[in-house]
Amino acid sequence: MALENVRDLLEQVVGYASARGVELAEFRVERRKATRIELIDGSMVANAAVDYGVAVRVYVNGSFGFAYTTRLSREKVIDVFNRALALARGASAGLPKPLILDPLEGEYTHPVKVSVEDVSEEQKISDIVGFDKLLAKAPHVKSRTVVYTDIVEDKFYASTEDRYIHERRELAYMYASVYGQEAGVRGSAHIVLGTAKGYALWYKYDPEKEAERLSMRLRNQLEAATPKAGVFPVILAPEALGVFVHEAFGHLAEADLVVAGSVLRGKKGQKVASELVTIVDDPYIDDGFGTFRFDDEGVKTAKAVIVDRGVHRQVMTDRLHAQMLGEKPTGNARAESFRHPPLVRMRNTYMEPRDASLEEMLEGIKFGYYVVSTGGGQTNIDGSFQVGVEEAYEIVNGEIGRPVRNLAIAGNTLETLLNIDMVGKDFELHYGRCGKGQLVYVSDGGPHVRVRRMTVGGRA
Amino acid sequence: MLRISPIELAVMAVRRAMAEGATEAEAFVTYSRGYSVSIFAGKIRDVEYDDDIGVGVRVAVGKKVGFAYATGAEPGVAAEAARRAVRLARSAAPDRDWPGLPEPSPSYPDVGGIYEASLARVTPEALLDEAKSLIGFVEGYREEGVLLSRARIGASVVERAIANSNGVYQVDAGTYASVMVSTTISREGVTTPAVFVFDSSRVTMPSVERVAERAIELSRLATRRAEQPSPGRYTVVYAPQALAELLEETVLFSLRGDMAVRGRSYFRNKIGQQVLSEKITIVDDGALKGGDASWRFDGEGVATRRTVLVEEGILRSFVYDTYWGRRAGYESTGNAVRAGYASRPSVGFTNVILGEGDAAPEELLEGRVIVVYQVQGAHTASPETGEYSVLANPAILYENGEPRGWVPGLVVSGNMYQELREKVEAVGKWLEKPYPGIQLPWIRLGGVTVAPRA
Repeated sequence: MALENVRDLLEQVVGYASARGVELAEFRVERRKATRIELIDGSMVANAAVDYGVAVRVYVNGSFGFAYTTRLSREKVIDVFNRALALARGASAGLPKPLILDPLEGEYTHPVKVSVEDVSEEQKISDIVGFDKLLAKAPHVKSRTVVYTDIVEDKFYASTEDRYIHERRELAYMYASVYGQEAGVRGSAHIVLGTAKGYALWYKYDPEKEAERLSMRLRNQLEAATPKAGVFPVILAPEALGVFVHEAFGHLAEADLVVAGSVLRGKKGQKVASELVTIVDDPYIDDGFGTFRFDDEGVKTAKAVIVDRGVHRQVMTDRLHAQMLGEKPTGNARAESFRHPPLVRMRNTYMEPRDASLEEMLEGIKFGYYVVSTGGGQTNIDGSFQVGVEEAYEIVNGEIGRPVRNLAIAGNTLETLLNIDMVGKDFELHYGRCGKGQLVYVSDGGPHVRVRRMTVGGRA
Repeated sequence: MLRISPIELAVMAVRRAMAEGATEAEAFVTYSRGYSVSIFAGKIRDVEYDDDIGVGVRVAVGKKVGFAYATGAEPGVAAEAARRAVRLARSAAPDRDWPGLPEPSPSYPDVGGIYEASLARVTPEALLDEAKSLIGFVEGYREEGVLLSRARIGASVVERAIANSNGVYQVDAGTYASVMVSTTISREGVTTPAVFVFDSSRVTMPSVERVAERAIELSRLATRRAEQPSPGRYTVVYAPQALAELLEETVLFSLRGDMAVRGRSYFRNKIGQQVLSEKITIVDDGALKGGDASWRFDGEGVATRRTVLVEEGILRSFVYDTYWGRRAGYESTGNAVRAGYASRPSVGFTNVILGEGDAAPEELLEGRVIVVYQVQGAHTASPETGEYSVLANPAILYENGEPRGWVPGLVVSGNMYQELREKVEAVGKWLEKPYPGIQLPWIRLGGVTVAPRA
C-alpha cells in the first residue's frame, strides 16, 4: 500500500472501531525501509528491507487486546481489530482506563542534511568500504566486522479519539568491531556511531579519527593489565556514564518497573543521589536516537526530569501507568515495530553537566580506575547493576596509567549515585539500541563523573 | 487464509529474481500466527495476536550477493523483495569466496514431535485461562510477599517454505508453546532480585504452576542474607541458567565455524585436541525430536542433523552453514540459522545439549560453595578470550548442601575457556532447559574469583 493511502485506510478503520463500543482503539501503521551493508573481513553482503505492517490495540472492559498483521488491506485490518477486541473482552484484566486525550492532527518530518534515500547504494558502499580499509591498515587488527545501517521510518498513528499523527525520521548508524592478537594475547573492541540527520555520519564523524580510536582501543586490550578485584574510586567518562545512567538507573524509573516494585517505588521527593546529580530523559535533544514528537501511543513527548539535584522527581510513563500512578504523561511508550505493543521505554537519557574538570577529578586518587567505554550492562529491579568495561585505565597517584582489561563495575545503583562526588563540565551523547524484550533506538550520555567507591570485578 | 501458499510465494520470488538478472536466487517464507499473554505486576497487561508473513530473498549476480525482505503475502511483495535484492547485489562488491547456494540435500530427517494440531488451534480463551490460573496460583503466596513481577505465556504455529534456483523446494510446519515467569519477594522493605524461570514445548502447554513454583523456590533462597565474603577465590557452582548465558558468549561463539575461519574462535585449529574438561560433551542437534529449534531443514534448505562438537573435552567439529563450511573445507552441518524471513541465514546453533555428568546434588554442593543462579551482564564477556566479569544475582551461599542466604552484589570473574578446561570439579547428573534450545547440567568449578559488594 502506498503511503498516500494510509490516511484513508486509517479513517475507515477508526470509523469501524468507533461503532463497536470500544473505550479506546489505536492503529499504528508503520513502514521502515532499511539498507544494511555488512563487511566481514572485507567480504560484503548488502541487505534491504521493507518492513510494513499494522498494529491494533483495543482497550475495553479493563483490558488491552493487541493484534498485528503484515497484510495491509482494509479487510485484514478489520479482521485483526476484531481479534484484538475479542482478546480484550476475554481478558478482564482489571486494569485502570488509560489516559484519554483530545482529538489532534499531527504531522512532523524530522529535518535531515541529506536523505538516505537520495544517496545511491554505490556511494554508501564506497564510504563504508573506505572506513573498513582504514581499519585493515593496522597490523594488530586481525579480523573486522563493519555494519552500516540506515532506516527511513514512517509511523502513522490513529485512534478512536480522532487523533491522526504521522511522523517521519531517518536513523543511520555504524557498528564496527575489531579483533586482534599479538604475542598470544587476544582482544577485541568496538565503536558505534549514529545520527538522526539522514546520510550524515561522515559529516559528523571523521573516519580516520574513528578508525584510529577503534584501533587504539584494541591496542589497549592487547597491552592491558588485569585489574584487581575490590572496591576503588572510579571515574566514568561520558560514554560509560551514559550506559550507567541508562542501564543501571533509567530502567528503574520506567513506570511499569516502578509498579513492579523497582527500588524507586515510593521514593518520589526523596534524595536518591548526590545533589550534584540531575538525570533527565529528553525527547527533544538535537540529533538523538530517542528524539521524536509523538510516542507510539500518540502522546506528545515531554522531558522527564527523573532526578533533580539529587531528588527523585518524575518517572517515565505511558498512558496506562500515568493513570495508575497519577503521574504526568511523558510520551515514553515505544514499540520496536508494529509487531509489538508499546512498553515504557527510554529515549535520550543523560546526566546534566556541572563544573568539574577531569584533572580535578583525578587529583587525590591514589589508586582507582578510569572507565571510558563499555560492552553494555544490565540491571535488576532490586537496584543492582553490572556494566562490563571495554576501555579502562588504572589511575595511579592522580594520573591516568596503564590500560586494564576484563573489568566490570557493579553495585547498587542508588548507593553509587549517592557516592558521586564530582560531576564534569563536558558532555557527549552516544548511540545504541536498548533491549527490554523489544529493541528500540536510544541515546545516552553525560559528562565525566567521579564515584568515591565502587565494586570492580577483576582478578583477586 | 492465504490466497497464495508460502511455498508458492517463495517460488514466485525466485522466478522474479532470476528474471531480474540474478544468476542464483533463494526465497524463504515464514508464516506465523499465534497468541500470547503478558503479565506485569500480577495483572494481565496485553493479550496479543500475531499474523506475520513475509519473504526474504537472497540472490547472487555472479559473485556479488544481495538480500532483501518485504512483508506481506501478495505477489507484489515477492516481486519487490526480489527486485531490491538483485539491485543491491549489482551494487555490491564481489565476494570471491561465494560458493553458490546449496543443492537439495540427499534426504531430510523425519523430525518428530514438532507439530501438534491441538496446539496449532489453541484459542485465546485457553491461554487466558492459563494466565488466570498463574495469577491465582502466585496470589496464594501473597502472605509471603511473593509478587508476579512479569510473565509471558504464548502459543504459535509457524510454516516455513524455501525454494532456490538449484532445486531446493521444502516446506515444514511446527508448533511451539512457552511459559516464562519472573517473581520477587518483598518483605520488611527488602526486595529480592527478580528471578526468571522458563519452560517450553513443541506439542503441549507447559504447566504454569510448575514454572511458578520453581520461580518462587528460587526467590525464597534470597529472602535471607548471608555475610559478604572477602575478595578471593571460591568454589562456585553455576546453575544452568547462569552457565547457559556465559557459554553462549564464550564457548558457543568459539564453536561457530565462521569464527574459526576468521581466527576469532578460541578453538581455531584445535580439532582433535583437548579443549575442555573430559567431563564435558557438547552436541548440536537440529533434528532433535521435539527440540525447540528442530526443523527438517535449516535456513537455507539444508537437512538438519546431529553434530558432536566436543566429545569428552575433545574438539570434534564446528557448526557451519554452506558459505563458511565451504571456506573451511567442510560441508554445511545444517546450521544456517534464521529467525524468519527478515533475517539472512547465518551460522548459529539449533538445539544445544551439554551432556549430563554423574554428580548428585550433594556432591555439587559439598563444603562451602557459592551457587550462582543467574548473572547480569553475560553479554559483556569477551568471546575471543573467554574473560568475564559479571554480577551474580542471586548468588546463594551453601554450606554442606544447606542454603545460608543471598550474597547481594557479588561479582564473579574469570575465564570460561580456562575454567571449563581446568577447574571443573563436578557436573550434575541431570539436564535442565533454562532457555529455548539449550539443555545443560549444573557445573561446579574450583577457584573462581569473587569480589564482594562495595
